[in-house]
Amino acid sequence: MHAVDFAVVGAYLLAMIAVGAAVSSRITGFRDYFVAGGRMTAPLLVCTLVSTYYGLDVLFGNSEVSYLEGVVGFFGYTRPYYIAILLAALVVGRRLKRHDFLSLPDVAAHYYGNGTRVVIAVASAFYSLPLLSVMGIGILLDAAAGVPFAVGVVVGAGVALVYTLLGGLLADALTDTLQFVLMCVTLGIAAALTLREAGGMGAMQAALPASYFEPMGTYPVWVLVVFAGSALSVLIEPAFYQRIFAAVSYRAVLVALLVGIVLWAAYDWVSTVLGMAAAARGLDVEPRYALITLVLDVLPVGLAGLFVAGALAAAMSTIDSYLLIAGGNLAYDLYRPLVRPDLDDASLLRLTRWSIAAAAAISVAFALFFRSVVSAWIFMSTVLVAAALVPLLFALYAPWRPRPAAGLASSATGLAVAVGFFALVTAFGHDDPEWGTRIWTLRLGGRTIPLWQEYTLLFALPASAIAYAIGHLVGRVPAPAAAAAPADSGGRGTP
Amino acid sequence: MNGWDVFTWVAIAVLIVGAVGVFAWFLRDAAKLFRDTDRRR
Repeated sequence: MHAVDFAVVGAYLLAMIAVGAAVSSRITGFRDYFVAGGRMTAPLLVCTLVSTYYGLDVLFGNSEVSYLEGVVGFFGYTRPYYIAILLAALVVGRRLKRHDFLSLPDVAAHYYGNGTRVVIAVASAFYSLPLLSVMGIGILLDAAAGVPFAVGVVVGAGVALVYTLLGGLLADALTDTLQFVLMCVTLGIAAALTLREAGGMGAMQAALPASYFEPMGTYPVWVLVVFAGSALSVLIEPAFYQRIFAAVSYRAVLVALLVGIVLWAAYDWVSTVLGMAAAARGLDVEPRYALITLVLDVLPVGLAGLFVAGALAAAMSTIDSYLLIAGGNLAYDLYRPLVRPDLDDASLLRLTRWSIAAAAAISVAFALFFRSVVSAWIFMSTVLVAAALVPLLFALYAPWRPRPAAGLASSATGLAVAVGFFALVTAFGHDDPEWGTRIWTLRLGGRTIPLWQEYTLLFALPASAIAYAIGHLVGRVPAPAAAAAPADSGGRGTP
Repeated sequence: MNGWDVFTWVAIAVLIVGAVGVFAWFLRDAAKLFRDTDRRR
């Protein structure tokens, strides 16, 4: 990178901190800090939803799959997400907006009590540690500018931490608007220049095997089923929930998600094409570096720095949002109900800020000590879906009154089976270099059954559903007063 | 130009024009967002 490129990146980082400092004077309490006082408008929601949900893992992950396999990354993996987001927009968002919750565990507490809240808060806090994005910044600055990995990790996470601590969700969302524009426009420009230089998609078709253009590629069918099933995580995604609660109205949520789907699809397709362009160009690099290597080859001085700033933006918009959620889970969803139910608003706000700093420190430590966290990320997302999906969907849509025993049994069983299955695959499985995953090969009655670590949900979700049914049959319907309500600091759980 | 090209150029256009358009929409609403905040305080 040229000095001009470094200046562009430096200016971007300073601008983010300036936004956090400007917003900090507007924070008057926990509700202001955690859900921006419930006043986020549709365009602000589009910016923060799109940029938060799409980090470096998506940018590098999409291009990694397409570099190796072609268009299946788009058609097999990302497309089911748009259907799940549509469901979230049309069905879940409407139901959630009838209440005045502040967090995902708040919803569990309202329907099932504090036992289920604790299980889901633990899973949500764990899921929200932004390990992959923190690591992504280290990799990006190392690959693009030769900044040592540890320095890149600390600087990237540090800047995101500072403005999140200062301004909470509003600072997060306002920085997300700039990050949203940067990440989308720079990717679009990079794709346009790359495509022109590559001679268009026709030239890529001539250079790549025909399988690269088969929508379902060469993946085993069960892996495609798991890919599609993983899209269900959208229905219990903590960042979505937080933004639904922060929205000024349900209409704003609906418009934002519908516009978001179009932008997400464009982002996914463009990053898929860039991965394929890297393969067509014959770049011999580690697959996850394919996109950044190609783009830095193609872009001129200044634009290269802008692209790195855009990629940093994609990572930081994810880091800040999930640090905020993890901190809120620790302070608001775990400490307050379990240890200090009478905690006042100012103390809760202070504790949340400390918890955010702790979550950042844990993420940086993991990123520095464990260079390969891809399987850890799969585990983290699986844990949340296994613990929260079944009880929350039943709570929101089942015609019967939720019973605390059903919620607790379902969430605890889902969590236990997910952890147990993952531990077994880790202990008895082997790393498969061809598919880049861990597989436990079972031999039963002369048959060989390959169990991928991605299959965790195929066991955890049915177990969670069975536990829910048992809990519902043996549990008692609570008296109306027994259902826990969200906190006094803003939440007013509607019966 | 084949179908893949058309699909890709449409995606690029959506990404650039869509992002700039949403940002302009946000700026138009930003004054309202902060006016409401100040009124609450």
